[in-house]
Amino acid sequence: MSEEYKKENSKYLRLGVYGFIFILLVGGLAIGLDNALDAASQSATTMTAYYVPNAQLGLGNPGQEQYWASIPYTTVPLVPTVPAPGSIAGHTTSIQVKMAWTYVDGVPYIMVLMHGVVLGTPSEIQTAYQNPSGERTPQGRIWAPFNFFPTSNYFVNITYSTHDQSTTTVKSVPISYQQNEISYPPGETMGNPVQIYVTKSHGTLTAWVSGAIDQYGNPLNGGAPIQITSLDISANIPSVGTVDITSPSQILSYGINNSIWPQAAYNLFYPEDTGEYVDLFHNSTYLYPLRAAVMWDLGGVPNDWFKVAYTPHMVLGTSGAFSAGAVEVWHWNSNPRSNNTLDAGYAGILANLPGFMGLPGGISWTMANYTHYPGYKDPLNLGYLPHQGLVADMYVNGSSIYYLGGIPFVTTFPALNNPSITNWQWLQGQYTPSELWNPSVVATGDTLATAPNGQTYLTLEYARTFSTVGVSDGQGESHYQIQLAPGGTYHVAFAWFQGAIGESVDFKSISLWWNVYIQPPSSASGPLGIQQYLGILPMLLGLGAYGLKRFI
Amino acid sequence: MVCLTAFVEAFFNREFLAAVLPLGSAGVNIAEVSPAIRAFYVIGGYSFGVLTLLAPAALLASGILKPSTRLLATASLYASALGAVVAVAMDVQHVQEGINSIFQSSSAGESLILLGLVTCSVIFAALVVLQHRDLMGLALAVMLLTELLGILFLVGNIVTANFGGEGWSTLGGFSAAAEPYAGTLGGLLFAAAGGYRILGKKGGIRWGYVAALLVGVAIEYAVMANVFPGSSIVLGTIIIYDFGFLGVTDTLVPLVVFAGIASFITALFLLAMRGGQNTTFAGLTGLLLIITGFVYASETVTTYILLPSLAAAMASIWLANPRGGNAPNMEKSVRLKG
Repeated sequence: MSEEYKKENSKYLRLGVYGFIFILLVGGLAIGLDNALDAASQSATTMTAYYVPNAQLGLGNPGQEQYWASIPYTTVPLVPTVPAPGSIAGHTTSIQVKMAWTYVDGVPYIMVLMHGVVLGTPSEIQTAYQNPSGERTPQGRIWAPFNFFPTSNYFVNITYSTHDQSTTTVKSVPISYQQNEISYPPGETMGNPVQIYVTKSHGTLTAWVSGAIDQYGNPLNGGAPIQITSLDISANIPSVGTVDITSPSQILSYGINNSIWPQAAYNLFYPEDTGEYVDLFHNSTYLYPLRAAVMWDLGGVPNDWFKVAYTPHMVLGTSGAFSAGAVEVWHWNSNPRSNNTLDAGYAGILANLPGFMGLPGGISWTMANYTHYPGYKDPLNLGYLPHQGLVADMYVNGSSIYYLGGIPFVTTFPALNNPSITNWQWLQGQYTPSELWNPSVVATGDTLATAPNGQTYLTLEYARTFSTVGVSDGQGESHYQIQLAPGGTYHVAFAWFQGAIGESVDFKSISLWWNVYIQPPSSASGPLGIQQYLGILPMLLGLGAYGLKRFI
Repeated sequence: MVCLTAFVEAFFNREFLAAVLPLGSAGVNIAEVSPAIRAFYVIGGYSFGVLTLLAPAALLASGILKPSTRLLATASLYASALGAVVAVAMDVQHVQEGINSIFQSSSAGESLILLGLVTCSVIFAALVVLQHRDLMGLALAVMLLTELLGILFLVGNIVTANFGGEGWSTLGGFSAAAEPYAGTLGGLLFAAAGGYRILGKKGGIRWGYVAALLVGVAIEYAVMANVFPGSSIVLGTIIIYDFGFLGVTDTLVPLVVFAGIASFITALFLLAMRGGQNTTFAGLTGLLLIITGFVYASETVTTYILLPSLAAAMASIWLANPRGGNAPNMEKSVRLKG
């Protein structure tokens, strides 16, 4: 081996070692920086919730209280949730938001004011606002014919043929089959409530099922009861135990006549299928409600993520699962949750919640029936205010959207509610409002106004106590809700639906993350002291002078 | 190196992996697969760390060590260098005051100084490239304008949040809405200007360029036409949620993607064709603007804010090298290296 060759070799070896050390150094520094620094700033932009002493809630005229005039609107740009050609999503380019908070008898309340354009003709807007329809796919099928119920041995399969729907067989769907084949999110199976009952004629017992639907959500047998020719249900009946029901007489002997069961969904439209759509069925009269939402980050994601390109985003093809972490959503829609008593489905404080999918024996009560536990400090008595609307209070994580205080088969997502109510009790409606979690601790007020140029705007105000601890008497509801404090900063995002031109479900416009800074009562200025940057001015001036010298 | 790191960071960042991949459509529970994709988070985080180191270092080097005789180019370089110093000072302060606090440790004043310096460097660089009276100069100026719109969005929000006056936020909103239009126009102009140069070059490179463009466009068409179910949504989602591009509507998505693909391929070929310093710097500037500036224009993160400034610095240096030849300082550096 020549000397020159050895020399070359040694040179490459040296370079290799130096390179390795260099990579280690840069790598170590980089990982250290990533872990320890991430950024000097945050990716979300900031808005301030200003402290206003003795502020009043004016839900009948949102945004009209005098203090709002002194708070600047922040323009929040929005982007489409489903950004693809032909998508119905993304018609709102921006909305305006402002926030304030106040004390009422020592209890802090946050007020969020949203203002944005409503697209559509006056007649379309009026339809969307007061008489919206249920969502359908572009082909006209019902968007979500089946609903969520906890995976359990109460699910039954109801067979039918397209030619003759007057008879059926009813069989249990094994839990293992539900888990392996049809349950999503974990622990939930899609179903539809049906009623099973027995009649006696000429000494013969006959079992019937009513309320069953086909895979598209259309009533079977034209909505008339269907005779059960074969019965094979294995289920746990309270006070009876696990039993196999194969004859109508057992239904009577076990005392479960007229009981409600979940009909298992047929496999044509599950949450994962929603990811394939970019549009919904709509025309000038078949429209969806106006909707808006405020979304609060509840954690589960390192704060670093908010500083480095982390955006709030629903995972397409799920029942609303969130990309990472958990959030609470204050979801408002114009019908039935606005404060307009002329709405077809007005669900304000004086109206009935809808019955159990129209079945007899379903629940029916007013919001005022819900118990306001003394442990929940709410001197304004939200939920009982004049001119008040509601929100659908939602908890969202990596698996799904969940309705807080939701009731299976009444609300359209999986429910988080009193954990001591059993699946059988849920099915049979064996509970009272006082046992349930409060479904709406957020009060709203909204107005539609048309500007001189003919453009319609929606102004929407939300109000809630900073803390909801004690709201469900210690059952855990507050764990799924944002808890605010003066001086704190929280991650928040916004959504806006143009229901009057066909936006609904996952088709909407959303913002990226924003920070909300709750201005402390003692703070006269904004959150960022301008004096902080004065310290680096001498260094800047020195460098500037150096640069000038070089330049000249 | 900066380009490469920024590219890796963009595609391995947590948002891309956690929110953009169509895991839900595949019936996968995000919470369950999070641990499995954690290795990718580390790659993304590592790249971000390297970027945090490289961006200010490169700016300081270009601003202080680079001699130039042109007023605007020099002003742009020094504004960039000062921006790097402010960014480093903000990062140090951030570490001092609590690295993981939910709220930023730096003040509104600091942010505005940084943004002001970056704005100056970008404006100067835009004026510089406009003096270069050809299509490439115009393309880079429009691309730099896209940066300015993103910066204006940040400035508007910071001013409104801290000093009141909702007009600033409204202006920021308009800027955000205009961003994709400027970005698309700039990208298409860059592809046209660069493509003209590449196609004028003899040899196989121009056929390679045409083939790459055709493949890129064919893939985009297939994706947008939903040949793979749900693919159009995924691609659009990447543009908006991974790249933080505001103001995009459904109809704009194919155009933005086309401009992105065409300009990215063009920049790579400009670098590969070895057409002299002028072409190389144009390619590098374009690549930096495409990968970094376009991507992070709406993020208030020092590392990301510095990237447009870095691209502006590149543009300024590019002008210091007159068209078609090597500037004296470059010859000097080549000689020294040799």
